[in-house]
Amino acid sequence: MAKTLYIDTSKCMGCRGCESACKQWNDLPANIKGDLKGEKFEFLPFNGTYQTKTAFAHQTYTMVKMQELAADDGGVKWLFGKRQCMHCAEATCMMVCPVDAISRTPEGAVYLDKEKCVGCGYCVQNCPFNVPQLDYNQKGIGIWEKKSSKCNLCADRVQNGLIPACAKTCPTGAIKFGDREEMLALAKERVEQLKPKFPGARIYGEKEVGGTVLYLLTEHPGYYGLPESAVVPWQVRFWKYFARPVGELAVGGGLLVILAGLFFNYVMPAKETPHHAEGVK
Amino acid sequence: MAQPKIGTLRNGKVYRFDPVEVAAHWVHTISFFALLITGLVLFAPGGAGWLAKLLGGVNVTRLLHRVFAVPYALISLPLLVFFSPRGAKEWFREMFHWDKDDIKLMMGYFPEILGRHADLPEAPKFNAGEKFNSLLTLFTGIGLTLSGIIMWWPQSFPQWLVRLAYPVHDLAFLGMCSMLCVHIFLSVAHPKMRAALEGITTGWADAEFCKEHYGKWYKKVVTKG
Repeated sequence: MAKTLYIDTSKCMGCRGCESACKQWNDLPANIKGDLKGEKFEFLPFNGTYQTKTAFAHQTYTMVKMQELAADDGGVKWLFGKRQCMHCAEATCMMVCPVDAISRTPEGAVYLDKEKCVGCGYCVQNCPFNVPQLDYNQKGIGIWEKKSSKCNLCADRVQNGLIPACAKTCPTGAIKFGDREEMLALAKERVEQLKPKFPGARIYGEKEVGGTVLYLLTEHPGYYGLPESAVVPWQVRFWKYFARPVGELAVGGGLLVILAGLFFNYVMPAKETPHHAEGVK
Repeated sequence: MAQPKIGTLRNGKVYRFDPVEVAAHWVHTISFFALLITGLVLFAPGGAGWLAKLLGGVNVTRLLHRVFAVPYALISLPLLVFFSPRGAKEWFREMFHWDKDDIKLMMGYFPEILGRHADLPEAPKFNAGEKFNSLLTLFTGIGLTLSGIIMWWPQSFPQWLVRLAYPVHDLAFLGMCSMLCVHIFLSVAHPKMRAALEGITTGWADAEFCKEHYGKWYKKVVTKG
């Protein structure tokens, strides 16, 4: 049965309890010291907002993004958007993974198996939401073990009848987890409720990506760092539906030439002696 | 001892390639195969299992693929260009110069692969098939090198380009492998073309073979010595 993680951003107050619960359940270390996208720091950087995490990382599966907007009444609006893997219906990461380390659970989550992952980084580079990130562990001189990491929608909890850690901990009910139909109905009801006060209220994730995550946004998706339409990158389609089949066909043709060549030269050689140039003196 | 002149005929053999041309060919061959085998870990079915184990694990293979990329990208071509300008000039001139005879030979060559006789025009130093192979080697080499650099340091390039590098790398290597099937079959197993392997290994190729397969070149440059 397809489940859905429903995030009602209008109810999010930015407490970041979901970030902590995620780290606790998935046993992920804090970002006290580290290197995020080349930026090195010793402590959590203060960047003037209530957002503490700047990007997904191998130890950060979820984060609450914050955006300040000028309100019409002269005040400010705070937008909080809890972000994690979208568990896309047509998952780019699944398409590109060369070792089938990424699969779909019966509940609809896109599950990344770190045991099978070889760290090629295809999913990292091609994800339309830039969610998966590589975990580096040095094993020797020049030898690094790399593992892609991302939210698995607490597949272990869900399979045992629990709800994901982020949904469980959310004190305002902004994060809910349940059957898709039920969540979609909740979202639609909420949009109607919010329309008078928030004309920009909309559902995100019903048609976009069509996955297991549904958002209720009060403003344009861009303010939450979400792409307006997230589709499988054209390069990936070109790769999977053109480059590979055409290339493999060409190699198949080459192998056929070898087989034909061996057969017609050795098993069934020409009857007449082939033409030879005059002997060279 | 002074190098013999290209085209020198001695003991029924013709001097076809100088040692630099030979070395450039084999540095390219060895590095290409090393890259192919290490690269197949991410391509062959189950490659990350059995093949990676054979090569010392995926983490070691990842390093090996980068190690062999260096001679592939940086040694064979500069070696030819800087140490055998004559050989490089001939190679480039031949692969970019196609006349009617080359096209006729290309179109009519298939029966020859199968050991049947075809009436074909005479060829210069490289016949049309070898010219095509050279073009493919050069351009897939450029494609593999550029896309490989992008994949090696993805954070230094825009994301759309990194994403494009993967299909380019695949298409280039598969295209080259397709050509390689024919190239290797002809040089290793084909009863007549096999003689070319001796030429690119020792520099000296059978004179009768050269006269038959590279008629234009033979008439122009071969002198008794």
